[in-house]
Amino acid sequence: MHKYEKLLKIGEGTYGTVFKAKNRDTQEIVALKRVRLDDEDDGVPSSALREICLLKELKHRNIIRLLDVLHGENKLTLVFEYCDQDLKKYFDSCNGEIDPDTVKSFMQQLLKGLAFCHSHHVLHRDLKPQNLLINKNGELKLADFGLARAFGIPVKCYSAEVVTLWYRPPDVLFGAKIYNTSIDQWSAGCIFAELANGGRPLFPGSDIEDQLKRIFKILGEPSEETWPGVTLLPDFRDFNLPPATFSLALYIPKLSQKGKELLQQMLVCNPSGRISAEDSLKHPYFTQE
Amino acid sequence: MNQTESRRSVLNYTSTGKEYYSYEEDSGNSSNCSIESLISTASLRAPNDHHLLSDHRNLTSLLFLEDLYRIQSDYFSHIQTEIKPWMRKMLANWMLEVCRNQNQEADVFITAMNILDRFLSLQAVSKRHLQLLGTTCMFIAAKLRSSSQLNAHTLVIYTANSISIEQLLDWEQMVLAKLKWDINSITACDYVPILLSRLNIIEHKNIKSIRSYIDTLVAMCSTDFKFSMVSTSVIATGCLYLAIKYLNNLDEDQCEQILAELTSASNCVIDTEILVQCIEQIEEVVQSEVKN
Repeated sequence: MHKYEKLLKIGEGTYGTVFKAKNRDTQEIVALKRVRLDDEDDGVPSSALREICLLKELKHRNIIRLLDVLHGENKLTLVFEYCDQDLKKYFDSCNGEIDPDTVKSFMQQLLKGLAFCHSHHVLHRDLKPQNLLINKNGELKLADFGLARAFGIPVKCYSAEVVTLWYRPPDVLFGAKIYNTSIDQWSAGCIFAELANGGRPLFPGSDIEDQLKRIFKILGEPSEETWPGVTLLPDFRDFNLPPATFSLALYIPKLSQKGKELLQQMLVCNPSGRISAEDSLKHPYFTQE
Repeated sequence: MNQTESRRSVLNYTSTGKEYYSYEEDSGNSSNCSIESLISTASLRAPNDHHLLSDHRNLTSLLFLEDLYRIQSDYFSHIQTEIKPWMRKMLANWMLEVCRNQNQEADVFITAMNILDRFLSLQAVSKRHLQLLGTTCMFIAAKLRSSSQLNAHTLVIYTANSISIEQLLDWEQMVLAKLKWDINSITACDYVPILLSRLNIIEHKNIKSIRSYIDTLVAMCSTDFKFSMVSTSVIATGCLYLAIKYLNNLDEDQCEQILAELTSASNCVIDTEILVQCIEQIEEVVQSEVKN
């Protein structure tokens, strides 16, 4: 620990306090995330173990870099590259207005990071503005892989553990216990809309039912025709909502036409119809405008 | 000292009363042979993700990464002074049994064996610590790969209390630090869905038996040190080939055809000669396991 000088506390992470610190030798500014090993019988928490070994593999400019792991008495310290703020704080500081070029740049970086994760068999599963870090150069980085997991491995019921409600896709809200890369694409779509609207969340639901109603009010309620198998999901329910009156486009007025088209392909209720991160990056929104 | 006596000095175990190689010959239908029930598939697997399977970069990155996790030399002749190949084999069979009893997927066992091999190629271990190391490797692998962790207390019981929880937790940190946390090895199981999808049989009606047969074969390969230095992709392809061959009782021509398809499914990076050699070795191991 003598290698780093703690500067200030910057927050509470999934499993411990996060500090801003300075490497005494190189003067490099880093973030230290402490993992307590309190539970005497479990050893290293599996979330920490996964985060560490997944992040070691994910070396990409849009993914937070894990620089080192320090072993200590009853604790581990993860040393990360430092970012000045997260997207949530950025929203708070921008007064409801984000320039269209910035929206596109952030979105492109988010999708690049995500496409990289997906191509390396990793689902993030907890994308939200608080987990997207931004540094002084306007670089966006995916962070907090505490809930991430390599996929293709067996999954159990996740329910509340996964994805903050506002960014949770309808299939997971309906109790789907198995899912894939499409879970991250839905969250990315929600963040896209939030960026385009200057930091106003698209579906700020208060509970699961409210969350589903908010989604279906804008996108229309799914049926067996639009989403084969939806009625078989464990927590499926029919809200009998009237058909959506306005199209999604009206809720994101400031976004360009191409941007609206892309968002429409990301926010598809049926997970198998959702566009992949890789294909999103090839969309004319990024390539033509 | 004869081998039976020295067994006890290497491995302590509580008998689970289960015979796990109960191959019945001439069962009439080769798909019924109990070898495929070696690995329980009780836990739920994630469904096939076509975005993932159709993305050619996945195979490319698996092929690139697998070499980083493959041991490069025979640690019995260089690093280890006390540990012998038969001790590794005995430990591996015990670990496989523990993993099976705890309903862990094949990849937990295979990952544990890879961690074990890589640790043993870095540091000498005395034979009284070998079982502790094997237990630690399972403990880590399940945290990484499984939806249900292996409980430290349970693992200690499996060793007939020959190790303590404190030791297990100490060794966990020691192994992680030694391997620099690079524990997410590429296993043969990672290739299987991609290969099955390229062969267009991932939706096949017998896919469950094919997959559990493959799991059984790749686990068996992990128990045998001679496969530790073979490319993971070659093992995966070889096991897949044998699973199809056995389950469908194919003749020589059909086998040839599958071999050709498999080679092209793996983007022709797998050398056919090496593959054929590996397949022969797997068949030998299967034969000897069946005899025992």
